[in-house]
Amino acid sequence: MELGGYADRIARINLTSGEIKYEGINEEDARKYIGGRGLGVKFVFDNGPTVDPFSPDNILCFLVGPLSGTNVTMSGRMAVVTKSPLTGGVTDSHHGGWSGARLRWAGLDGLIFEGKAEKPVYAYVEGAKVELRDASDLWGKGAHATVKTLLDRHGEDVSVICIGQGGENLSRFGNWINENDRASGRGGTGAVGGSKNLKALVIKAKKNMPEAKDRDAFKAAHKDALEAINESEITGPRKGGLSVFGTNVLMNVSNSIGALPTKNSQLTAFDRAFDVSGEHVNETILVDNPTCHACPVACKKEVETKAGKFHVHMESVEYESAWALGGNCLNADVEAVAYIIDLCNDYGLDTIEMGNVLSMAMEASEKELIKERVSWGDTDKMVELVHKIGLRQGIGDTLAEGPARAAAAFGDPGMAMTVKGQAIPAYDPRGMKGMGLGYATSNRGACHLRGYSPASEVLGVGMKTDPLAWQGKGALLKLLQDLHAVSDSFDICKFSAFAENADHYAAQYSAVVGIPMNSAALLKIGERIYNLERYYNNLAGLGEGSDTLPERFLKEPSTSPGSKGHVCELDLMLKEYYALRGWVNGVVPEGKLKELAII
Amino acid sequence: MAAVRLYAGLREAAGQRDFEVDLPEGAVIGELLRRLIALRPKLDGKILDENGHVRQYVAVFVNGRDIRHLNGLGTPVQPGDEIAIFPPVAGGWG
Repeated sequence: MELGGYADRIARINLTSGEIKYEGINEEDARKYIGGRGLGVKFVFDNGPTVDPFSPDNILCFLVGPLSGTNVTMSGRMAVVTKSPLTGGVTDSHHGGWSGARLRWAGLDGLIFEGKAEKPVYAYVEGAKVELRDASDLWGKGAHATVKTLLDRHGEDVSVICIGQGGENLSRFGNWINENDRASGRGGTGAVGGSKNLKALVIKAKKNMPEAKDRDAFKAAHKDALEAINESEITGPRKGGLSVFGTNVLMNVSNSIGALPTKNSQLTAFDRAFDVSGEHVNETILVDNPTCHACPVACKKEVETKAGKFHVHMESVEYESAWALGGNCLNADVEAVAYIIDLCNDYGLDTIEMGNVLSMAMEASEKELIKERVSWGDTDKMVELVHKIGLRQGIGDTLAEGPARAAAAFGDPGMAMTVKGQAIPAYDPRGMKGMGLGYATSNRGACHLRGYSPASEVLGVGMKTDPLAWQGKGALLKLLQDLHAVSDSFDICKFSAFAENADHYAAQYSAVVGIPMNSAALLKIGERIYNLERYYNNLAGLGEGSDTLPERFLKEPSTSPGSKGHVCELDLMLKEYYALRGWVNGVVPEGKLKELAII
Repeated sequence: MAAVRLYAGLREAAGQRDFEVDLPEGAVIGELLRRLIALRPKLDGKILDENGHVRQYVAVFVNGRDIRHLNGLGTPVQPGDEIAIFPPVAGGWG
């Protein structure tokens, strides 16, 4: 392949037969879908839309992109792409840390797992080669013990990505945990690993930065982008709000404007939000500020709790997790939040889905739909249920299916704050209308990361829009969705977008890969990726009417200052959005697929 | 009196989170901010720029509404109103 930035080598591993083949990357696909998420979606698409997510016929892809492991700021991410057991559509979930860079340094662009191993295995990657090794001794262990065992076994310059008991037991929100605390959290990708008897990936590689195709151009482009990051009042190292307080600095902002879903979204603000916020974490339990490959921002907030009954030392209390297990469950004990996040990571369970399934169980208990007594804010009960879910014991067996399926089993599907089967993160669509459209039209189910509208609706990055206005949100979401599809395919952290713009992206990509690129052409690639995902989902059965929201957001007005009296005007936004997308009620027509050269 | 709550770096600069600010009848948020800064000079330059405008990415909320979507610094403030002020922050995504 002529393009720079790629190792041009993907390992295709048949777990049923044990056969491992290596293939190059199709250059046309690389130009059309870049790598990471985009290329992964293409692989999943080519594998067919009707496959059962837990069937050996489903594929599970771990991919990086052409910027991974380079000097590009925030280029340490890895995409896990598969057909989701939670939504039935295509999903991709990304983690930070060092494993993404290390995979590229090891000389691979990705691994694609097919089939199902007869007994538990892990994949060992070194020197651009993959071996399958016995993981029988690791099966049944949590992520932390698995990581420790494999690090002890394989020495230095190693990243371990693994599933816990959650994925082994096919919880539909089982995830992959990288290096103990970084999660490819959403969509149940870890459960797909469990269904294949795949316990872990071990990647061993020393630092080996890839060279850009055009070194001089890269030097200039990288300098511009890094200056933007360093000078930003948001991302600037040790001075910007994100760097100093981490992602959880948003807790008080969302709460102040009546956009913090509370008590399973029965309310839109939490009177004790400050107690689980980034500011409070910094004042009480913060011990360090870890970072990822090539990132000066260091938004991770390592914490240690010693005083109370919940003792834990873990890498970060992130906003989404702190919300899901905090105000969403009427829990204001930040030490309990940190402990439960770490417990979820050990079981390999998505904290967002966990918080939602727990708050749903609390509502079900209050309504006496279940026998189990699960009181709002009862942290001991929350811990007990995480164990039960991870091990599928008692009511945990039902809750492990995720809030949508569990609420239906309890007889009141309206208790599930989900879209396409995946639970909402930490933004209430009544106080942030664009995010409501984002949840509804996300191709992987309710998600804030497909189009991060709070950047505009709350923070004013790019352009400031009114969070309570529905007009114009169709254009905003389309732009953000297309832009994030690009960064996910590079694969770089979306936080770069707080300081960089599409021109920065285009200049760096062009220099590394060695082909001309501008922001408009890059966004067209993002649009192609978004449409391919949508086309796959349409073929998989997610057709007209699937872009919706829980009725709570559409019919029950907010009661909090900032958004009082508001519901989410989804239908009006959808009309605007579909017109801009060229879709018919959420379905991609053939003409659009041809226009984007998808077919 | 209007209740003002500062967050993140502003709170650290001011040395406290909560303030009660006296206001004349018919006051606007611009006046309140100037009084607050006079009360805590370390906030000078952190909320308003040299031209007296709200700095980029600084968010000033009156009863949960960003003044950029009300009448800006001319937004009326009444006794009992709750004011929240944030420095440039960004989060979520994690």
